[in-house]
Amino acid sequence: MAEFVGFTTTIPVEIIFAGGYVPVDLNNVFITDSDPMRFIDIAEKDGFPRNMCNWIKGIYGVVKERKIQTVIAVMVGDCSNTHALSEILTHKGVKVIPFAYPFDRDRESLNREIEKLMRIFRVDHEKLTKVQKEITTVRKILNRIDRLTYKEGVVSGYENHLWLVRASDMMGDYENYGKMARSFIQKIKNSKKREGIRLAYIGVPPIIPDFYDFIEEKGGFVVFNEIQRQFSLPFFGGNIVDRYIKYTYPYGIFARIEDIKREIRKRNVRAIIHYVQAFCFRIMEDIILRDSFNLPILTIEGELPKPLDTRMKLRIEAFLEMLRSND
Amino acid sequence: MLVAGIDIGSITTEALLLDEEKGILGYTIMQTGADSKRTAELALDKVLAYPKKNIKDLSYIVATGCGRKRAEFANQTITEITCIARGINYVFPEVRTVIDIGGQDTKVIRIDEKGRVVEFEMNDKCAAGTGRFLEVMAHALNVDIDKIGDLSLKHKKELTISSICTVFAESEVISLVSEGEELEDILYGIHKAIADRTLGLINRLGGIQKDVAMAGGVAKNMGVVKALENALGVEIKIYVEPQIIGALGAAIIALEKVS
Repeated sequence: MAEFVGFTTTIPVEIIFAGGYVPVDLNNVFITDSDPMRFIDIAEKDGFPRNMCNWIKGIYGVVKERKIQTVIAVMVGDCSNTHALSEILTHKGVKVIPFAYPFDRDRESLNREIEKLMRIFRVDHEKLTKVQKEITTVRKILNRIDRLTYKEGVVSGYENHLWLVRASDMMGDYENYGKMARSFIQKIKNSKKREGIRLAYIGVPPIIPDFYDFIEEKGGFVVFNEIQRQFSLPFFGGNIVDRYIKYTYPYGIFARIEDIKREIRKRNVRAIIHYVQAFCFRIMEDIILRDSFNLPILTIEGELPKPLDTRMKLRIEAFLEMLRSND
Repeated sequence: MLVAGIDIGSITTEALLLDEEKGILGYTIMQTGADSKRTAELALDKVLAYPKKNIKDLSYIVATGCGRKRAEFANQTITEITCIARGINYVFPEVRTVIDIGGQDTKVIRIDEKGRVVEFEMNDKCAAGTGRFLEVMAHALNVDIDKIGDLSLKHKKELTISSICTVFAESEVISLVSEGEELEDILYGIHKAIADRTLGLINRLGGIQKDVAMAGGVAKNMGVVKALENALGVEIKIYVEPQIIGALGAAIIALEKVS
């Protein structure tokens, strides 16, 4: 059986597949578990503080419980807590491979990082090109799911989120993921067109399980999931470096703003929901985001993998009431 | 024709009756307690008792507040943010910014000339800067909650409470007491801390737009009102009973539904 390779956020997954390993996005394992609080408990029992990001604790809990031996830790371009997390994992005997997206989006530096991963996983260019081509086919199917959301209105905001967010590891088997995506499209393509206030969801994916359901219940329709779409790497030309240099998420807020502006125009978005994770440095970036778009913005701060509390519900409901009253 | 608005808050519940001319026939304010469903029923019964009416005489009921879903007798539920905006617009049509400080929430709402919400901000999970914060501080200082606002206005020194967290601020207050600081000066610091916290929310909306009004139970505390007026450099309008603004807005929306 192929060895699992865990990672802390989206990495050039093509290399892992080409090396014959099974990529595991540790965030996905954490959040799709029926009892994600268990992983947080594991981390807190080992001394992780209560007042810090629960995604990091969840990742740690998953690595420990699932006995994952190798973890690619994204040290630049994601979360600053990953530094300490990778030190703790190393201390506990896990093999940690650091990966860095260059903050200045420098092509040469990114190329070096990609070459490094290729060396570690013994992947040559020929093998990588073959796998990359196959994965591109899957990415194109995911892109179609995205279009079916904002153009046809037959895919819900939650379904859009789920298909795109899981693209980071394609559930460990890209061929099967492609098949699943195709059959999903067959199933929903003639569904009834969804109505609702067209919303953009920006920021990291929510830790809250009923987030999209509640928005939909109150008359909203998420037609753009910013980071999730980025995780699906919807860039089809060029080589692997071209693709991961176009990817906005790791290159700071300004790279993201450009992408968000383009997409909200294209998707006819009426308002924005900015999700931030409690204790995350990205909360500060809300200041810049609020000044960058000419649309109403609601900022929601989530903490634990638990259903929306009354206060969050109040904000979302009031926000949608506000948008409706100003129609 | 008669309609009712009911605002089930975390600490108090208000019920209000409105006639077809938008005249307030009566209102009541009760402690919410542990059983908000029962309290909502009692509040409605109480407000209906004076004009000798019963629930069948009501053409429409709108419930609001964090316990709004518990009012099973209501025809509709609407968030307090929308209701406060409508309530303030009815009593002060010229107001464009509303600061509502309740038991566990602080909200800053920007409204238009029709009382529609244009933008709003609200404190997150932490109860710092809310009515609960004042209760904890009053308890730590062993002073009646109703007196702390006026006492703070008698301060001589401008003490600063630097902690944002209610728990840390309580420790800071206790330290100030043991250092021999005067009660009035400490209370000034507490009220100033609430004003600063609210200012943070106002700044997220890009500052205030005049006129400014305050609603919610904390609007009865002149220490907070003065601290906010000083921080904002404007006069704040306060309705004769600021706690009923949410219920009033709910009743106005109820009236619109049937007329």
